[in-house]
Amino acid sequence: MTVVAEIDCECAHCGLPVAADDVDSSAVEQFCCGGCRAVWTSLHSCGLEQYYELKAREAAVRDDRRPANVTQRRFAHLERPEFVAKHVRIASDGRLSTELCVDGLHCGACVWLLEALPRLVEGLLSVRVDIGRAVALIEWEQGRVTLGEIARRFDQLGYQLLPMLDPAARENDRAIDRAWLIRLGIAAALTSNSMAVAFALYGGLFATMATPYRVFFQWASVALAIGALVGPGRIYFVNALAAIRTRTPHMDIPVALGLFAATGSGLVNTLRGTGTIYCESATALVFLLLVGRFIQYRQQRKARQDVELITTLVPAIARRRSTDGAIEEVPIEALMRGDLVEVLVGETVPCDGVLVSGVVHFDVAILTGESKPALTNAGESVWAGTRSLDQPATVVVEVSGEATRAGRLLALVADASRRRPPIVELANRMAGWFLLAVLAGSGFTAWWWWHLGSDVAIARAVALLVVTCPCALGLATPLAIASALGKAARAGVLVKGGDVLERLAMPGTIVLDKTGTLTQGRMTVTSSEGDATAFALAGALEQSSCHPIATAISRAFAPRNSTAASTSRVHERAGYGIEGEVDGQAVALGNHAFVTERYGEAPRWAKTFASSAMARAETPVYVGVDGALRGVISVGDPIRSEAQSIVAQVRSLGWNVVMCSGDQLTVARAVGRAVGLGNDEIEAGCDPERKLAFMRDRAHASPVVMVGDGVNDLAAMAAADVGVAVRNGAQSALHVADVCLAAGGLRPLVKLLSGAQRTMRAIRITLAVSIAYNATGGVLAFNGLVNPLVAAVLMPVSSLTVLWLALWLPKFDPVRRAEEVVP
Amino acid sequence: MSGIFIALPVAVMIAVAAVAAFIWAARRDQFEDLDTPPRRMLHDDVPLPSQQTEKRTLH
Repeated sequence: MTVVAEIDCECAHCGLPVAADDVDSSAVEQFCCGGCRAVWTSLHSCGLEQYYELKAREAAVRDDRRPANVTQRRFAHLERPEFVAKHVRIASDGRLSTELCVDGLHCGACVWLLEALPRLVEGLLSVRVDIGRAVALIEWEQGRVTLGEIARRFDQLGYQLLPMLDPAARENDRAIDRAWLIRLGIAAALTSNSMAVAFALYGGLFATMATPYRVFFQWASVALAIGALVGPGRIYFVNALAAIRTRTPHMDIPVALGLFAATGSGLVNTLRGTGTIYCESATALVFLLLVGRFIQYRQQRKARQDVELITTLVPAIARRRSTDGAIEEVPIEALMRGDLVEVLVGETVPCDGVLVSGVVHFDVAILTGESKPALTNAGESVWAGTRSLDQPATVVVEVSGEATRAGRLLALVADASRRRPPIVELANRMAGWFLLAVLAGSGFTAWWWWHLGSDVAIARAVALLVVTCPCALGLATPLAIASALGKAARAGVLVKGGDVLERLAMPGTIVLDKTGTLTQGRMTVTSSEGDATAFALAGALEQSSCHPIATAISRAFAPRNSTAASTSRVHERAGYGIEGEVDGQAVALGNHAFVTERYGEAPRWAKTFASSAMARAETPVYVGVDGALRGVISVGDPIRSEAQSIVAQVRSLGWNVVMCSGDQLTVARAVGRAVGLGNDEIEAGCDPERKLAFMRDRAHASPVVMVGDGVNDLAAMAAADVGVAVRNGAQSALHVADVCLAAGGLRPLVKLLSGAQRTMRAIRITLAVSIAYNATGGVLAFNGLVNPLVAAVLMPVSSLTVLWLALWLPKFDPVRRAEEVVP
Repeated sequence: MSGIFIALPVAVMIAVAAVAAFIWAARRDQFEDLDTPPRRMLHDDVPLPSQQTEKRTLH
């Protein structure tokens, strides 16, 4: 039995490993696919090879390396009047400009490459790339070049220009962003000045400060606090009033009360000329809480935009055949029921409809998660988003756009992500109550000790105000989370938001997709038994078929540069097998029925091999040459080597593990057995809708995590408390997921779960230390054991302790180099 | 010490000026894209080799 191994070799363009059977031993540069080869060639032909030097120096912005995608489309839709009216701005001097999304941006070298294009393309005036938002501002001269031509140049280099979905909404988002920035800037300036004034005031309490100066400082502090409340802090009062009007509890109510009490008492005390003020804390709290809110707002908006991006799943352009037989490219909106649409091999179907003629294999993994291609006969249904694998297909349109199954799926995704309740961060919940408690404590101290004289009472109340400090509370959680996210990214886990870590704090249920998550997601020859020369002939014959099993066999047994064997009289019987002549020898491969029909009953060794392959949920392919059965090849989607140990480790962290698969029960159970899952932990035959329902059933008790790779997992990922996408998954899965495992395989999953638990423990420790310090300091101050000067020194010390704990405690194990090698 | 009556308003005026400058910058989208410019400035602006012939090959 021979096992196929892969050699480590990197693609000259994208840097991803090249499969052993794609290695061209006669060339210096190796490519993983035709797209990368095409981009590499066109970069060298026009003197842009500097790109590779730059790329080697640059740190990646997006850690989703993937092969270059060259579609060779016409991009005629970018020149249609509807598009121009909505997206293109015309300046008075005849210059046109537009903003478009760019797919395929990776690092600073891409910025250089695209911004160098105006020097090569006549009429293209400038390209400005915003790599963070993946948007390019393109300016060109009317009449000298068209946007379609520019898009084709981008395409030649492996970048796709996509229309922005809603330019008006983007403009609106930018306005909101600016308002937030300005609000934050004002709050920061007020806080820093208020702190400086407070420092002088606290200092003046112990030395002698003449009353006019003290009153002056107090007025300054009160004015700054009122500025903070009326300006940037207004939103807390607006939210609190709205909450009171609708009689719903809201965390802004205590915040608003605390801010009002602190500033109000400061103002009253200043007017009366006695007592102390606590205004700088109100100002600081406005700023600190705003920072937290801003981060939260950005995350939510990003999630919303990413859901919009996945509508690019279905092509925007269809090839429509008109009545006279001519083919024209039209946007899918123009498709009518009954139109005929051509779909070339490898292309995505743009609409739901019915296959007109022939027998075509479609890759339906995107919709159902089934790894085996679906055999479709004339008259049967075809779905938008699926891909034709072996034959060009003609489809009669039934519905297109949002009414398709893929469109409804996307609606489910958007709906599920909207419905997920936002988590109010722990620190946010506590901050308002903290402020109120401190004020109440201080008032109580003054009242309690009044009988000893107002001097003593006020000194103790002030000491309590100074010694308790909301800074640590406000900053500890965001800092611990920021530090954890940075460490996670270095460990190969890209976490999109801090709330993800809070959701993962308690163990719950983890749902694993099968195809592409537990398995590698690509048909591969796993083992074979029999005559090697027969396999070489089989490989040569299979080169003429596009079926995934055929591709796997030809990859394994027909090296690209072997002298091309001449094949003739090839006949493929869909669903059974293929036969033909290779170098004059009659070769036939196929399933059991196909082969017994030609060679009679299979021998015992072949049957044993075949049944063991089927027990592993693999497909046995019989090979016959010149009238005799010569061997059996087993083709399957191999299970990731680390899957079993990962399942065990995740269990040991206290999580329940469930596998959800679009495949049939027997296949799902075979894979489940191999990774150590019991039959009751397996859900088979799950289409996206069932996966979604499955998640909703479990969503109440404990957190549910969905780990997947494909579009069929999207809705479930969005509905789960946390969606995790594995590397090399669908682009849209990366957008919807809360977490992307950037390092290969499933290993980072364990790091994510254990890292999240450690981070939450770190946050709780930090908060506990902060509260313990505040409580101790408060009690000591109440009893007059801390004088205000000592308190003023202790305050920064406590803050530093808490900050140090927050930055140092959260830990993620880094990925060791050896683990990154893809098996 | 009485200098504080002048110094503090001056400090506040400086802060106001800083905030005004910040608002001016924010309104002009200076904080729109913080990722690309630091990368762009590292790219040497060398002329591409034989630009005239290149135009033909790419066209």
